[in-house]
Amino acid sequence: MVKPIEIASYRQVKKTIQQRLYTAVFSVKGLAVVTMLVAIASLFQGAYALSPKEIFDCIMAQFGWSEVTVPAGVSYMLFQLRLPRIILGLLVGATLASSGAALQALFRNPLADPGLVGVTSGAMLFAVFGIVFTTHIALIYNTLFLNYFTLTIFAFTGSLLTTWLVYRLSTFGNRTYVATMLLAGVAMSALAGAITGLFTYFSNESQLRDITFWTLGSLGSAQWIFVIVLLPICCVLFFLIIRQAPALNLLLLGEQEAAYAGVNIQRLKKTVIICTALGVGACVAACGVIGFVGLVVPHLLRLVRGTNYRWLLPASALLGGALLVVADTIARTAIAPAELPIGVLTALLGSPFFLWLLLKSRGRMAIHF
Amino acid sequence: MLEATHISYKVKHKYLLRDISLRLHAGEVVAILGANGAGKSTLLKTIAGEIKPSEGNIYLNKKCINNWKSIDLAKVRGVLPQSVQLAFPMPVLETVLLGRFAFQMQESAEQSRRVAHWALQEVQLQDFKHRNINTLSGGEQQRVHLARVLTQIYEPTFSQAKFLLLDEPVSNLDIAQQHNLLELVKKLTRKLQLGVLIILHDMNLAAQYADQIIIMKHGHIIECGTPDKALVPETIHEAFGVESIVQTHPLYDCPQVITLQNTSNINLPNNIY
Repeated sequence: MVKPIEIASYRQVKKTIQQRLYTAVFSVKGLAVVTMLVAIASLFQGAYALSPKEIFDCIMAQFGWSEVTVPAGVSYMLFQLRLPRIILGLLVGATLASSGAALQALFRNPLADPGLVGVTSGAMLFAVFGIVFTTHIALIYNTLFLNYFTLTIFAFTGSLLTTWLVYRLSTFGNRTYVATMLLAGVAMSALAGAITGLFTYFSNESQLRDITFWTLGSLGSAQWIFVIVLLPICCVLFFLIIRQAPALNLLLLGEQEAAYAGVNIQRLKKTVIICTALGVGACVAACGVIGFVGLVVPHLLRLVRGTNYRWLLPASALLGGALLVVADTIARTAIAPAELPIGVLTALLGSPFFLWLLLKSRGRMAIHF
Repeated sequence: MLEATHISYKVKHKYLLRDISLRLHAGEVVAILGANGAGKSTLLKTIAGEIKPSEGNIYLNKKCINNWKSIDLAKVRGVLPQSVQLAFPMPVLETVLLGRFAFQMQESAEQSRRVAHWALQEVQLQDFKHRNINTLSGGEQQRVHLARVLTQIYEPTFSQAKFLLLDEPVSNLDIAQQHNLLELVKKLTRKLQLGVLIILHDMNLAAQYADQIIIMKHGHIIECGTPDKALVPETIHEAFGVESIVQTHPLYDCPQVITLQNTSNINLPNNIY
């Protein structure tokens, strides 16, 4: 039986509709649809705007379903430039945001973001080292050495090395002390930052430009090879983290309470730290330092629908992916044919919105320690 | 039954607990009293399985606690601390549901939800389930966490004895809420045949609600028994270093302790003690 709708005031009706819309959009399914739409919309946009017909023709031609001939340039742009770039954006955004959410629970700290355990700073240090010194190395080993992958491998090594160091520093007697880890992470970041600064000092002008661009992040180097490598890594790690969602929920009560309720704390810490370090390390290596997504996306969602990690982790992943794709689309269209660094855009887009949300729900966002 | 046999715990040659033996039966409330630093919390943590005793063993339902997996242990004993602060605020029902972690592999979400509803009913908070936990008073929050701990150990059949360990659960509450919570705990103890170990600071609350009282000093148990037997001026003086008058409670069948200022030349009226 259908309940008769009570005639309510306009405001009440508006509020109900708004709430229903919120619930629908911010369910995992709703967010998946939104992310999908964003990704598809992003396909059309760029320095050269593609029309739906061109895309349709391209797909038909690519798979041999029709005899239409499309200009090679268009096909190349769609399949070799835009598509891998969008998929990479989705992957990186998802990994950063879900890692941020997991780390915020682990450290019980709303300011935690993937960079906290030293992943980003380590990657940056090694990448800058790579940028500054590969020129010298390249002179010795000929130019083969100098390509994207050198930098990627450098950055990945750096991120894992720093995280491992931070982890070792804060683990003694088979126990990891989260507060120590937080401090060790900050100290390591400062140290890495200082050494990075030193390297920057030795760099010439073109290297300096590379460094700046890298520290602000870009999806511009996206190629299928990155997608192929990142996709399985991110999927496996995300699966491992999402399995810890109930335990992460319990961690909100504190480590001790979680342990009393049956969580194997030590294993949980290890899993979350290793997974986030690997995932974020790989992402940073692929496209530089993209801040803000990991910090703000989980909070944004928390403000909307609370802190249940069973929902928050997939939702963060989806919204993170969508946000990054939107930012990247703007990055490559705003001042086309040149490109803006994406890190600038994520912050530029996200922070005003986040501030607005924060102002709107000042009472509810009572976080205390 | 929960049994500790001659347990000691030392850190760098200093004994925090020395030769403690105790038994906790189902359906019984045991209160631990003692001055600050007497080792009450350490004892509770040891019994909870968080700290490993240096000597002696703890048996939970006849099985040594070291042989329990943490997830199975969680199904049998719940621990409620003085206060719990959530890192991010959550609705009441979700907070209670967190307790069901250990059972999540063997039951559906719907079943867990039913258990949480039952627990909220037991602590009389069923009308608060959608409220944010931050908007509740201290006493109500503590009851939410009690419900969470009940949810943690609830089994439809209660085939084995379950235990609750409460570490100063009423220290942050006003007097009405203290009575309210302890009454609730006592009622649940009888109803579900739980074994309850509870650390208290107030001797009179312990006298009113506990079946047995353990008094500790310097990591020892100096007295153990019914409230009548344990709460006598000599023991109270030994444990807390205060003089006191102990009389029978005018309404209930339990002793009542009146503590005095630390002056030895006080003239006690002849008709008391």
